[in-house]
Amino acid sequence: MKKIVVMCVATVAFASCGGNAEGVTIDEQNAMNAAYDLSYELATAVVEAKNYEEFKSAREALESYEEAFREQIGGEEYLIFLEETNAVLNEM
Amino acid sequence: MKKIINILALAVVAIAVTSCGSHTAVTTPMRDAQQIAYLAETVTSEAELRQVEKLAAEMEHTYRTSFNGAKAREFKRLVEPILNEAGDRRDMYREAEEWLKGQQTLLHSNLDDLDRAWSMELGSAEEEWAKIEAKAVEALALVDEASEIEARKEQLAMDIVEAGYPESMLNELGELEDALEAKASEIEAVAKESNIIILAWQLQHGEDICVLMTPEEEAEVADIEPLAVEDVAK
Repeated sequence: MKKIVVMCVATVAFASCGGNAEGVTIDEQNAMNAAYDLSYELATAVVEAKNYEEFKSAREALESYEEAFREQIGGEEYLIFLEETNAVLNEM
Repeated sequence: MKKIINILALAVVAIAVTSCGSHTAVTTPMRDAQQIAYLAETVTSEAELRQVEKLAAEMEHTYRTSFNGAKAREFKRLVEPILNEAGDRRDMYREAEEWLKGQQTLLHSNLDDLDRAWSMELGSAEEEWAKIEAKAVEALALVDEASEIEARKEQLAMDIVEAGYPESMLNELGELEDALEAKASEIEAVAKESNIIILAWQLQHGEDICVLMTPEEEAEVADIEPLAVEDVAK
């Protein structure tokens, strides 16, 4: 019984730790290309949103990937993701 | 006999006390410096640098107390450039970290600005334009105030030199610098408010905010004589 309770608690804790990055996985082998491509795609979607709802959904996607890059990859690739995203957003 | 035993016991205690200090094992200055160099290569943070510096200082202390001053000096001479290099590396990593944090802050501030612009309730173009104009007037007034402070600051800086750097005047100069910085932040905030309105209009209407001039404004513009080409060239 105790084991089951512990397992349930662990599952709930694990699920809630996922946050925004839940479901987003970055391919470590191709992280550099992904940093360039995804930052451009996601930031462009934010900039080109046609209404508030579209903006909110594009922002959520962008922030999920930002979190995924920060937590899964880090280092130079994460910095590139940030810099490229800011470059697109600042063009507005 | 008892006296001799007592003296021996004291000697043993004295040796034990001196060897109980923070003596770190040392080999030769060159080999130990190599060990420090090996550890220093991995330094990326302040804490790591402090650890390597602590070990080097302990080794130097051991050389000084257990061997002689010459070995300690030799070890210090070898280790000093290594620690300096590690310090430079720590600075480089610190700068990179600060840059990264700056980019993170910028990203979220950009997204927050866009969010504000999208969710802002806008009135008519004339109403919004009036707000932008009011912000411009506010910003100009702040710029005037900042120029005044700047002039006072420059005058004070000259007076300080003549007066021989008295503390009271230096404090006043510091206060003026703080006031100038605060004024710059205020100007930035007002300009940002204005930019958010412009951005909000752009996002929500798909075009730049545009207001037709009133007949009085048109007359004012018509009164302005266009500059001749030669005037522009001057």
